Amino acid sequence: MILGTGLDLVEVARIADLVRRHGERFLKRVYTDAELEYCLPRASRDVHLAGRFAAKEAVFKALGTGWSETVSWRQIEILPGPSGAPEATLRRGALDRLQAMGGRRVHLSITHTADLASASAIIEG
Amino acid sequence: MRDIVTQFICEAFPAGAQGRRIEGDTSLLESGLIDSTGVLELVEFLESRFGISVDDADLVPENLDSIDRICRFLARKGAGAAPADGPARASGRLSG
Repeated sequence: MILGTGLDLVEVARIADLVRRHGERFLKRVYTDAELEYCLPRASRDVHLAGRFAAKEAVFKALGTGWSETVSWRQIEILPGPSGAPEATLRRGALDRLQAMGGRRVHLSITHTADLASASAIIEG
Repeated sequence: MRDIVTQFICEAFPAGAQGRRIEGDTSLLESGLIDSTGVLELVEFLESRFGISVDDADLVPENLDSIDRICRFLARKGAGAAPADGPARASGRLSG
């Protein structure tokens, strides 16, 4: 049973601008250490960071919370699974919210061009 | 302080502001003035311009989702405006 869906679109240039201007302070505010280890060495670093940001926002929407007191960006970690497809790991407030709504699994898809990154999330109960 | 915050929002997010007057209690997100990426741009601006540190626990609508809330938050943080011609000002202009 589908319990929630979310879709988000991010301009890569805005994420790149935040990284360029604010560096580690911005990165540590939004991304987990594992996400940074995955994204930062890549030639298309900004695209990967933007895709993850879109994915986190899509999961927010699927959880029905948006930006809130209880769920923040670092509580949702987006990393490649065994097949290479992105998988979301939820922690703390985000996990609490998922469990409260009866969610068992988050399905995630990310796509991008050089300028835009988009992600969709579906929560299955 | 209020004028600086208002000016930043109008300049950094012109598509949302579109020349309209922003009331102090207007929700910046619900009104479409800023989006989620814009929240982060706003936070980085506040840190740079006012010399404060925004912790994860501070990143909530109660502190940031209107100009009134931002001003109260800055006051609680003991914010002081950084020099207008210093590096902090350079970070005040963000493309949308």
